Amino acid sequence: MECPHCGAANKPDSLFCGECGEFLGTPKGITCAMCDTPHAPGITACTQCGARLIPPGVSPAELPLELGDEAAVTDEVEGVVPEDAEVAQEPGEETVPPWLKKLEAVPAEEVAERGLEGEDLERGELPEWLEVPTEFEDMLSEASIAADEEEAAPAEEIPSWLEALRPEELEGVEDISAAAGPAEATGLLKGIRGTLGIEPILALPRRAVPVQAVSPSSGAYERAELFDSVVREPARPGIELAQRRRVEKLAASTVRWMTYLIIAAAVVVPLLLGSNWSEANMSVSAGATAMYDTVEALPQGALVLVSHDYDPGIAGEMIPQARAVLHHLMGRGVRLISVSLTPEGARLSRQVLDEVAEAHGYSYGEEYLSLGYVVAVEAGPRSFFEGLVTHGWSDFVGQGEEIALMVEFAGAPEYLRLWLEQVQGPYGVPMAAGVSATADPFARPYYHNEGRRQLIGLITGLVGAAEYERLSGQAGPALTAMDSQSVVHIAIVLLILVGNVAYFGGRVRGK
Amino acid sequence: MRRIGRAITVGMRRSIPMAIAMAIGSLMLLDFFFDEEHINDLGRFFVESAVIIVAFALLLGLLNVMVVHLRRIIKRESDWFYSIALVAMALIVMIAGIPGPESTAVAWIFDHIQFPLQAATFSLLAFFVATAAYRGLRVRSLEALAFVVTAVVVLLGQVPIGRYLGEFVPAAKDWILDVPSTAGMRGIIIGVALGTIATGIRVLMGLDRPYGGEGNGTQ
Repeated sequence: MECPHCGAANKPDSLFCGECGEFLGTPKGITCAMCDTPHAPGITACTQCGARLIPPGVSPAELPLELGDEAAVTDEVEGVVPEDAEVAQEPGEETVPPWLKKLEAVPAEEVAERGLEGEDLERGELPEWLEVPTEFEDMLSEASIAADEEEAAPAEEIPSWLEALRPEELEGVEDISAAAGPAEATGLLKGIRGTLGIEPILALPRRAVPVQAVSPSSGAYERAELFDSVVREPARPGIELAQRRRVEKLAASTVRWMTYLIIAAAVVVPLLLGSNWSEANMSVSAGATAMYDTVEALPQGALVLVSHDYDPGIAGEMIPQARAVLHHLMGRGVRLISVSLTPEGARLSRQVLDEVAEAHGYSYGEEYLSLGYVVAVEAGPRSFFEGLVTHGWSDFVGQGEEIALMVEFAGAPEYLRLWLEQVQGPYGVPMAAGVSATADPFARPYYHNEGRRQLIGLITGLVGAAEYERLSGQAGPALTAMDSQSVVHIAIVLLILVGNVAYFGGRVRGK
Repeated sequence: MRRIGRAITVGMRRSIPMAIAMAIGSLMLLDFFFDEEHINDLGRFFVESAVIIVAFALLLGLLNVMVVHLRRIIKRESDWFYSIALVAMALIVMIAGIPGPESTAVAWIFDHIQFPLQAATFSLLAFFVATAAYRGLRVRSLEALAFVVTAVVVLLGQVPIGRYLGEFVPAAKDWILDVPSTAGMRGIIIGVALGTIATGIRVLMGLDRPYGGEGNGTQ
């Protein structure tokens, strides 16, 4: 079989051309040039896109494939082929068109000569071998005449059964050929209609018909009411749940504010009453007693290092401690050096030092010093103490003079740990500590270390300050605050009991 | 040649800090355990150097904070107006502190702004603790019962009014704080000490390198 594109000879039943690679279609059919859909012999219009597969007036000998008798019939049904179009009824024996034969017969030398001649052609002028053969000119002229006649011819009479299928929109159209679209004006399909056919309108949306109002029957009305009640039913528990949540939220808020009020009253009322009941009933712990005895044993003029390592947040319990111990120390006539591992502690300690020093007639620079902030890393306390004991300061500390006691006021455990690890351990300095209530569990192992007694004495929180005030016989703010603290502790214990009663009450009710 | 040079650079970047850390760490250990004059002098020198480096680190941290917040202000990032307050307050305190850390202006800022704010914030803890005690200390199990009983005994035994309930309450409080609490805390302290020793050995051997700027600090 020959390729319809390049004319090369191929084996029968080939699907693609061996020369140009084009699709050859089915062995006994033709391929649509518009959409490449293969078709069986005898089909003249593409079943997919409606394009005509063979030009009108082509003789069977010029067709690359055989055409059956059905071709002409199909063309007539589609109404795109003029009546006088010459379609071969019998397939010719020659499968290669003559014009293609002519191209094949041209020798290579002649092609080369024509190629050279082609260089002399004017622009836009086709070479001779590309011009339309005379056979095709006749065919095209006939097709053109047929198309013109078709345009001029009146519409054919449409059978009644076909008329019944006509869509509503096309009822007024007399010329059925016009509905198929305009004829092709140029090219091989000149004069042919329907290659790109107009999609027919199959249906139109119907207009809405107004519905007459229907009065429901009594039974339907009852069923609607029942449905409405069923739909509304789940919403009732939701409202109750929301109300219950609002009540619970209000109750929780009320309890919270009641708790705040109870604590505030427990703090303020004893302070306002000023009963000082705790002052007479204050017990003293062993740690506070040991610390007091250590200070009491210091000789007059001994050198004591005090570190104030706390900030304003914890100052409420640390400043009373510092004030009570400093009163005792200055009452013993010792010399004091004050430092701080927190920047805020330097300022807070200076205020306490000046206040207590004024009460005891101490003068700054002679009996006490405030050296300010020491960086709170391991090297800070170590470097400070190393310089103090190694070089000494000629204006306050003599070289080789020992520190008789170090008192650490630690608002957090890490400050106590730094002094213990970097100073107390390596240099064996006697050390006592006052710590906040939160740091107390960390400090107790060092106090209860019977082997080395890393902490000689220990006081804890505001209670420790009150104990020390009680021991030194100088009632201060810590003892005054003990009444408030006692009432607050009792209030918290009562809150715990009430909370558990409410909890078990709720469990008994099954909540 | 360039590859060799790069390999040497990378190797030096890793090995030199490691060598410095191992040498100084070993020296500080010797300083701690032996009383030899030259070693002690060297150890003292490095301790003082560390304090100076920390002081510069604080300055560097302040500069970093200022740069970060100035960038937020310039780029109008989220909550940039809080950065204005931070930068403004830092500048005000720095300017006020030019005469010295105990100047009148710095003391006024501390006494009238910083101290009340921090003290008030911490004081709120009492109210939260009370609310938590009411809502959280519920006897839901035997462990919770032990927890609640311990809390109640320590709360009552810590204050003078606990003595009115009997001598048992302060004694029970002392026993709880001195025996079980101290035992647990001592275990924690010993565990931390062992961990610190292990970390120190790893640093000295170059297995952990929390320096050198290599991201996670380990290899």
